[in-house]
Formats: sequence, C-alpha cells, structure tokens
Amino acid sequence: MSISDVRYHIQKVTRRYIAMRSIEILLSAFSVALVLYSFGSLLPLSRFVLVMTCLLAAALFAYFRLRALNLFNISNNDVVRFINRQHPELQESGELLLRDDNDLTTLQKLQQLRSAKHFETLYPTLKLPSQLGTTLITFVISIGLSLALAYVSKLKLENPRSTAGQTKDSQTQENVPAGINKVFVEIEPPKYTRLGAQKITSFTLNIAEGSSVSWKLNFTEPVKGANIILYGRDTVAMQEQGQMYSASKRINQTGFYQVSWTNVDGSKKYSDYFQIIVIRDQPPIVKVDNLEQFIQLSANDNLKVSMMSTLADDYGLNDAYVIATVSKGSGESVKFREEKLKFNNPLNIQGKAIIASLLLDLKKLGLDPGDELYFYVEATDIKVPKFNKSRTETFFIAIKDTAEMTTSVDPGLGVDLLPEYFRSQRQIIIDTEKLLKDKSKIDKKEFNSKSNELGYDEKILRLRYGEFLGEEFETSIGPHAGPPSDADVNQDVTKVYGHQHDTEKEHEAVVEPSNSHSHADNNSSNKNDKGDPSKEYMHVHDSEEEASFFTMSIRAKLKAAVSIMWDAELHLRMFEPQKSLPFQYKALKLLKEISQDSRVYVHRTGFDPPPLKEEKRLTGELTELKTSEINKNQKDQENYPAIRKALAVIEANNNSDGIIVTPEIKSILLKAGNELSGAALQQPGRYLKSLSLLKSVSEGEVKEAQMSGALQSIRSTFYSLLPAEASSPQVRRKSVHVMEDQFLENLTKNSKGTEK
Amino acid sequence: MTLNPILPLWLIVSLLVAMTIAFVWMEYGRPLKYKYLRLIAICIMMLSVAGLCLRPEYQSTMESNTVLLTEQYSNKIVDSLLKKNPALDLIRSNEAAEFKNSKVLVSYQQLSDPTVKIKAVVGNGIPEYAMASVSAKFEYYPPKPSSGVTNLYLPKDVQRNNEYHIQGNFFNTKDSVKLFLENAGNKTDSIQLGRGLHRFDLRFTPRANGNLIYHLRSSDDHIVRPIPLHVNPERPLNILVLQGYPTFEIQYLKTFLADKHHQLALRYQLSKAVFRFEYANRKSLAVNRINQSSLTEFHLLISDTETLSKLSAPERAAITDAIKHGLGFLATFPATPKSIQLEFLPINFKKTLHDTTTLKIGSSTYSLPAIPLRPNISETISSVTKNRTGALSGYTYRDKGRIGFQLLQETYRLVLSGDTVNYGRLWSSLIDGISRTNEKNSEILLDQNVPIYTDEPFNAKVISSESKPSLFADGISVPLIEDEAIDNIWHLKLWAGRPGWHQLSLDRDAAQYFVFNDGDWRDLRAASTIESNHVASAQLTASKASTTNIPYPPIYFYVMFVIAAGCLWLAPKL
Repeated sequence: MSISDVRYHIQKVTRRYIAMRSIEILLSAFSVALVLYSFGSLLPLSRFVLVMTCLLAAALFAYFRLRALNLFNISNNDVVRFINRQHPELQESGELLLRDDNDLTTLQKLQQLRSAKHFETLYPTLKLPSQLGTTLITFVISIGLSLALAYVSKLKLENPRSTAGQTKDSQTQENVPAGINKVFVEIEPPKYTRLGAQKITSFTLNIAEGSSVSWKLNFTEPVKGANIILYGRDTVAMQEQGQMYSASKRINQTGFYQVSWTNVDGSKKYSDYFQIIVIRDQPPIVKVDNLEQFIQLSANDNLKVSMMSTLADDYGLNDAYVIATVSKGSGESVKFREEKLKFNNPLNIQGKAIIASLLLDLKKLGLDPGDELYFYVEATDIKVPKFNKSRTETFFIAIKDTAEMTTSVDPGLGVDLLPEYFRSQRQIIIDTEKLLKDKSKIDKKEFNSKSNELGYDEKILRLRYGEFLGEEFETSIGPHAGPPSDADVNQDVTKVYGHQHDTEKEHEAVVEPSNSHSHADNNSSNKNDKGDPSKEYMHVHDSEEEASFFTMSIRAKLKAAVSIMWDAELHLRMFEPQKSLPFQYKALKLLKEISQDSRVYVHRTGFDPPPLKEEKRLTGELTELKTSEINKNQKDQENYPAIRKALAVIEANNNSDGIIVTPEIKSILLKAGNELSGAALQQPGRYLKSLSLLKSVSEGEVKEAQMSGALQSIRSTFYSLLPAEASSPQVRRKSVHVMEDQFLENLTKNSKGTEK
Repeated sequence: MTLNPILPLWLIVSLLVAMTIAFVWMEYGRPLKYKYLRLIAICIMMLSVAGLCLRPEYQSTMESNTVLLTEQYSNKIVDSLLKKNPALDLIRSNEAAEFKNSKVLVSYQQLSDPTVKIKAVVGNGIPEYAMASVSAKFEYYPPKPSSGVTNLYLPKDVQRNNEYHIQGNFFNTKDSVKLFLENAGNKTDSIQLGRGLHRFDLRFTPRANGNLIYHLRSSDDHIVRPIPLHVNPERPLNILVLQGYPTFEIQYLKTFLADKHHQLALRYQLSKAVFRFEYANRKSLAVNRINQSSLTEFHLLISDTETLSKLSAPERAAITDAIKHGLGFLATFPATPKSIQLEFLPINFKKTLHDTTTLKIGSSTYSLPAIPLRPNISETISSVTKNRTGALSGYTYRDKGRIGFQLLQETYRLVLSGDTVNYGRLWSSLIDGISRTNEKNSEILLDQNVPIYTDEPFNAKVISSESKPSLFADGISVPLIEDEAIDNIWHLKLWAGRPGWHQLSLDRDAAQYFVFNDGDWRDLRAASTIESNHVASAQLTASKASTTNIPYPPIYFYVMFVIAAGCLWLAPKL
C-alpha cells in the first residue's frame, strides 16, 4: 500500500465515521420525535402544534448531538489520532502518513513507511467508535412505543365516555362562537355516582343526572355582562372574575343552552345553541330467574321454594327485599298478612349487579292447603335525594286444597250466586257414603227414599250449574221437582233420566221466543235466515253455545261435569248409590278444577240520580222557559303561528338565492325560533341544529353559499313539526257562465216535462 | 315567363324601340360591308339591353326537402333519410346535437318562412308554442321512449289538511323504480313501479297555507322534479242547524266546526214558541221563523228528519225553495226515525238488518251504529262514505242545491277516542260536497299540468261577465282577446318571466302559476312535445307543390350584348 493509498483509506475512514454518526443522530432524533408525537397525541393539542413541537425537539436534539460529537470539525488528523491511541503499533506516528513527503526528514520518512506498513495490516480490522446498534434498538423501541400509544389514543377516541358523566372533548370539531375566546366547563357529577369531576373545553354537555356544571368564559373583547340561558327560558347571570365570567347550575334535564352577552356598545349578542344530554339514573333491574309466575303445589310437595333473583343498577343498589302476602281463608273471611323478607344470601345488598337468593318456607309463613302466597321482589338504588325503586311482577304460590268444596262456583265472585238450600257435590258424596254405610241398618224403602232424595239434590245441583251453560230449556228448580210417583217407577228410568245426546235437539227445538229486532253483527244467523222471511221480525237470542260466563275451556269442563252429574243422579234415582259414587267423585274433581280456573268478577255499581222535586214533577209548567241564546267566538288557536309565518317567508324565498333579512323578517324568524325551542326542549337532538341555523339566518351570519342548504334544513324541520290536523270543509267558489245556467234551467224543465 | 322591369315597362319598351329604330336607320345608311349582319347585331344588342332592364323570370316548382333535427334525434333515422334522398337539407334546433352539414335554426320563427319547407322532423319535435309556424304536413320520427314522467295531473283548489292526489304516468325502462313524493326532504308518499308505462298516484296532505313546493324523486336517476302547489287560505262556511233538542252528535259536530272557524247558528226548539239559540263565530241571528230570506246567507242547513217534519208548511216550502236556489241541506236521522220520506229528501231508502256497521276511514276501521236504512241502488246519488252494505252518507242534486244524508250515528266516538283527524274526514268531505257554491264573476283558467318555462309563451283562459275585464300579470296589465264564438270567454297569451311564483289577478280572483327552471321536468316536456308533434303530423294537410319565379341570369344578356357589339365593331373592318 503506497502512502497515497494510505491517505485515501484514512480519508475513507473519516467519511465512514461521519456518515455512521450522522445516521445515528438522525435515528435518535427521529425516535425522540416519534415518542414525543405519540405522547402529544394523547393531549388535547392541535395536530399542527404537535408536529411543529416534535420537529423542533428533533432538530434541537440533533444539533446538540452534533455539537457533542464535534462532527462539524472532524478531520483526518482526528481520525489518525484516534487510530494512534487505539493501535500502539503505529507508535504515535500515524500523523506522518498525512504529512507532505517534502516536509519530512529521512528518519520521518522511514517511520512513515513503517507506519504505512502497520496501517495496511490493521486497516481491515479498524473499528471506529459507534453506537449504531444501540441507536437501532432505541429506534425500534420508540416505534413500538408510539404504536402502543396510538392504539391507546384510538381506544380513547372510540370510547370517549368510559363512564357516564365524562364528557367528550370535542374542541377540535366545534366552532367556538365569535366573541367567546375560551371556555372551561367543570362538571361535578353527584357524589353517589362515584364519578370523578370533569374539566372540558367544549360547550356540548353529556352529563349524569343531577351534575353540577360550572362555566368559565373568556371573551375576545371586553363585555358588560354575560348570561347562560338554559332551555330557552332560565337565565343564569355570570359573575365577573377578572377577565373570566363564571356561572354554575345543577342540571337535571336534557335540553339546550346558549350564552348571551352585552357588548360594550350595549348591543346584545347570542351564541349558538349547545346541547345538554342528561344521562338519567336508571331504576334498578329486578328479575326472578328460577320461578314461574303461577305455581301450584299440593300439600304433599316440598313446601320450601328457593328463589333466585338478579338485581342490577347503573350506579349501585341500596337495598332489596321480598314483599310476601299470605292469603288465608276464602270468600268474605279471607285474611291477608304481609311480610317483608330479607334475602338469605347476600344479607347485605350492595353493588352494581348481584344475584340474591331466598328460601321461601311456606310452612313457616303459615300457609295451609287452600292458602296462597303472593310475593314480589323490590329493590332501591343509591340515588339521592330520592332513590329509584323498581319491583318484579307478582308471583303466586298456591297450595291445592282438595279437602274442601265451596258452594260457590267462583271464590272470587262478589256475590254468592248459589242459594242456601243447595247441597254441594261434596255433601252429596258424604251423604251417599253414609247411606251406603247405613244400608244394613235401615229397611229397603227408606234406603230407596234416601237414595231418591240424594238424586233430587244431585238434580238441583246439576240444574244450577246448567244455568251457567245457558241451559234455559230446563224447567225451574223448585215446583216440578219431587220424588217420582209410582207410575214413574214403571217407566224406563234410563230413558226418562238418562243422558241421551240424541234427544238434546228436542229440547232446543222448544226455544223460540220472539221479538222484533235482530242484531247487525250476527252475520252467521243472517246467512241461515235467508230463506225464512219471518226471521226478520223475530227476536233471536244469542246462541246458547256462545252464551256463558266462562271461557271455552271452563265451559267444556262444566259441560262434562253436568253430563257426569246426569249419570250420578240416574244411579241415585235407580237406588244404586254405590254405582253413583264414582260419577259423583268425577263430578267433584271437575267442579273443583273449574272453581280454581274461574276469574274474578266485579259487579257494576249503579248510578244514583239527583233527587226529583216531587211538587214540580209532571205538572207541564213551562212558564220559566224562555228563549235563550249563547254566543261563543272561537279564538284563533292555530298551533305554531310563528312557524307558519316563517314558513311562508322561507317558501316565498325558496326559489331565490336567499333571504334578505329585514327587521320584520327577523322578528318573524325569532318568534319561530321561540316556538321551535319549545319543541327542542323535548327532542334537542332533532331540532337543535335547525334552531342554530334559524338563529344564524335571522342574525345574517350565514354565508351566501350555505344559505340554500340552511333554508332547506329549516323548512324540513318546520314541516316535520307541524302536526296532522283534521280537515275542514270549505266554501266552494266557481264562476258560472250564462250558458251553464241556461243549460241547468233547460235540463230542469225537460226533466219536469218528462216526469209529467 | 314573367318580367321584373327595373323601370316602368312602357318606358323601357318605348325607349328601346325608339333606340332600335334609330340605330337600325343609322346603320342602314352607312355604306359598309355586311349590312344585314350589322342590323341583326343591333337587334341582338338591343334585345340583350332589354333583357338586362326587364329582368325576365321563369316559373319553377319547389319541393320540400328540409329535415329538422330536434333534441334527442336518432342518428340512424337521419342517416337512413339521407341515404334515401342525399339532397336533403338538414337544419337543427339549438338544443339538438350537432350533425355534419346541418345548419342551426336560430329561432322557430324561421319555420314560418315559405322557403323553408319541412319534409320531416326527427327527435322530440317542434315545441307546442312554435307549432303555429308550421303550416304543412311533415313526417315525424320520434325518439326512443326514455324513462320519466309522461303525464302529470295536479289537484286544483288545494286546501290545508285535506288529502289530495298527484297522479300521472311514468315510463320505466328499468326493472323497477320507486317514486317518492317529498316535502322539504320529508317523504310524504312513495310507489314502486315495474318496467313499462305505469300510472302513479301519490297522496299528500298539505299542513301549511301559501305557495309550497313538493318534489317528485325517482330512485333510478335521482332527478328531483319540483311540484308547485298553491294552498288556498281557509274559507269558512255559514251553517244553520235546526234541532228539536241537543244531541251529543250535533254538539260534537258544532264544537268541531266552531274550532275550524265556521260560522254556526243552532236552534233548539224547547216548546212551540220558545227556542234556544247557540252561535259560534258570528253575530246573533234569531231564526224564529224560517223563510227564504233568512236562509240566503247560509251555505248549509243541517237538520234531522223529525225536526223538519214538525215545521210549518210555509217553512218547509221556504227550505225547498232555498235548496233549489243553491242551499245545501244535510239530513240527519234520530236514532229511531219515524218517517224518512220528506219532500226535500228525494232519495228512496230501503230497510236493512244492520243497525251497526263497519267502515274504513283512512287507515283505521271503525264499527259505528247506523240507521238501518240504505239508499236504493237505483238512486242517483254521490256517495261520500260507503261500505259493503251501501252508501252511509252522500248527496243528490236538486236544481242548484244539493241534499245530503248521514246515516252514521254516534260518530263523536271518534273524537272521544282522540281521532279527530278521521272525524274531520268523515264530516268534511260530506259537508264540502253539499254546501252552497259561492258564485264569482270571473275566473282564470290555467293549465298547470304542463310546465311553463322562461321566455316561452303559454295560454290561459278567462271567464268574466264584465264587458272589459282587466287582467294583471304580476301587476302589469295584459291584453285579452275575446272568444269569437262564446260570450264572456277571453283568451290571453303570456311570455313567462323569471323562474318562480307569479300571479295573475282579475277583479277579485287570482291565480298563481310557477315558472320552472330550464332543466326541470325535461321528461314531461319531451313527452308533451312528442304528443303534440304526433298530432300535428297527423292533422296538418300536405301542401300543394308550390311554384316560384327564378330570374334568368343577367350574365347571358351581358355576353350577348358584348358579342353583338363586337360584331358591329368588327364587321366594317373585315
């Protein structure tokens, strides 16, 4: 390697060092900028400011690093000095390689040659100081970090409110109205919600119910006074605190608000409308998970019922319990006892969502067969001052009572429809059993007589139930009933008393009462009546098949019961009580089921007319009657009159480029705005945009290019607000041509002539 | 041959004859060669001068060979026409696309020029207003039908809160298209149409008075077509109610009508001479005795058949007479009508079994009590409410007046259930149909079903009994032309101004019309133009082959003159 080659290589090394260091610095600076940007994007800063800050930081970092490494002034000599230090075999004479040959002494030349030789050997292994590896690792880490931060930032944007009460910071999207420089809104949710206070710099409020909101405003120009107008009606005066104006208010209602301020020249200015969305504290959700609404148990069943209930609330539960009512007895002697039961697990109800359980021991609650337990679960939340309360539907647990047969068909009936002298099916069974027991003790005649009496009782009972089925064709209960005569005994009793379906029609054929009206809706009967003109003048009763106090399933059961009672009666009349017994039991079972199925019936109360003056009644005295008159003028009660007026103004300008807002039009639009704000209170999300546009149009703040779109939007809102009303008849107006008159005259004349 | 002399014929002839004689005499006297040749040359020379001065013309027959290309013309049709007759002249309207060798028709007025003979029209055709410029039959080649509205029928005399229909025909070239009727972006009604020509019917209920613009939008091309509608202000009625005693039905009807600002006078008869009067939105008017003069101010009389039968004969006669002169009469029935045949209820009813009835009002179905009577099918009545059992309310005509009936009972149940809208429908349509028509002296008749465009003429008609009615268009007086055949009918032609609403006013009547932007309703306009061109091409008679005078080219006479003069100069030198 010649000296010149050595020099060339030294120069190459220098350049390589500079390049390496530069890359290092660049990577480090980029890493710094990247990390800074990622952190900055989490803060509410504008993108431009953030980018500029990051670039500046990177530039400063690079500059100071360059200065530290002295890369600006690095030369071949510095490199050679470094090599000298690193490689002692050069004997500190590396600089000789760079010096001009002419300036060197012979000894120096010799040393130069030696150094050149050493340099040639060490050149391939020459290592310059570098942190490129570390820098690269740092760079990769910084990229990873920034990606992680970007993900966090994205999550934050997607879920601006992780909990109710936190408000989205929409400063970047929302235009701060002219005149207002800065806004700071502090939201303090109610303490029981356990939500933290929020500070935002936007006007739109998304808050928990009952939050206290404090506004701090700074205006671009000095102002005389400022107010917050809530819901278009409540004005809250703002207090001046240096350059800031502040006000606070507890917000409970969804709606809108705006800021108004008085300029120094006395003119009043209003801001845009801003939305207030109040997130209501929802009442607790209460559910019973494992029970049917109606449970019927028999006395032999396990009378311990386990109940599981799911309880949840948005902010937390305060208490939950079961209200149980035990109903004992029947008819007018029914007694109720109410108990408040605490859950077994957990004993203390707290938290946002819990599953609570309770073991209902029906025996402990004092339930006997025939008694019923009504219960529901009620829960309250932690809301103050007044908690929210909710409850489940009422659940029923009844213990079947098969031992008792009430005389009433319906324990719920207000009036007992069965007369005193009826014997219930149960009583007849007991008597029948007693008769069978005493059969050996009494003679046959008495036995037969008692059996017949029981059959008579069975008949009365059957007829009574038959009435509920509309079986009017039967004779009355009392007069015709009696023990059979001797002649009757000789007849075929099965034919006389047996339940024969084929003979049913014969009974029905007897029913033919008449009257003069028929029912319009009875289409089916009309169809059948087509062939018989006399039917038109008859009073046709409703079909007995459809006339009943009961629903179809109960009717079917009752019909079956009556049918079985026929057979029971038949065997009693035939002096065969033992054969009758199974039928009686069957009938009893059916009647018991019917009794359980029937519904509560409430009797109507009558109208009490005012007392009549007896002395004036039917005298025909009319002297006090005089011609009288009432005059009533309907006031103009048109709904949304201002909106209708404003609509006419907008429609008139619909085809032109825009509205020139004269003071008159401004007044119309402002009045329409007042009416619209009333509607916006109910549905701020729907009408607030149009309300703001209307305000901008009336203030002349809308640009020409946007005017058409603004008017279109306002029109659309106005039309959607106008309600559907009943149509009204109108006076028809028509010009009548002489020829039409003549035509009508001739037509009338001709038609009269034809009639004659 | 005809002459077209530049000076009076006698002067030219006499001068030329004199000059010819003089030249012949002078030449004859000259002792030179070729005398006869020179004399002939002089004659020819003078003849050519005569030709130059008299400008003779010959007659030629002209054939129409111009093809007018209009908007949407088909290139194929034009090419085939040119193939058949390459000598055809092509002219195209301003809106039509370019075609090689075609001239632009600056104005349709040019068509009235006799030299422009239209042989054929290709495309949408000549606009209706310019059709008068074409006098001779032409062949018409319409374009292929394209998607769009081909007919439109807008309701007249639109009132607030009443339901109206916008009907028309739509030609669809796609499998399916949906038409939406919108008001300020709010959808009012829509209809789905299949391929081909379909009729559409879209309902709307205006909720505000004044000039409104609805829009018809099709889902295929999203073209928004404006539909201008003028909603007239309310015109309240003056109604008289005669009742024996107050009923719920009449009380609710009274409240409903009074709320709508109608003038009402109600009379209940407490005893023979004692009445109870109720008034709403009007001054007191004690109608103790009913006579014709007391009925003239009312548009409608509502009474039940029982009360009417108790009126005295002169009172009944007065009512009959008033009905003949235009009063509307609405008969209601007591729950159990004793007599139904009244002298002023000329409708025969038949008994029916149904004392309740089910009917559909709007989208709801109601079951209401109804008198078990229905008008005979043979009766010529206009039914307002009906169901399968027959007409439940309706009316018939008696001279100028109308007599109606309402068989439905307890309609106030609708109000009690909160459905005042359907209660309004039930009664408004009936009262509307029956009540007296106010006659007006003049009326403007304007066809709004065809769109009007800026700078294009449109026609209107005026009915006026005045001898010289004066009509104003946006406050500017417009001349009227009286119809030559029918009295009191006047015609006018107007050129539409800038787009938007305009007003024609005449006496106390006014009509609103809307001028559309050029791009609006192109489909309807094209369809209307195509139809009128079809009619015109079929109705106009073919013109007879016309002749024209063509002058002989003067160059011939000049050449003859030069040759003759040359001969005259050269002959002596030979």
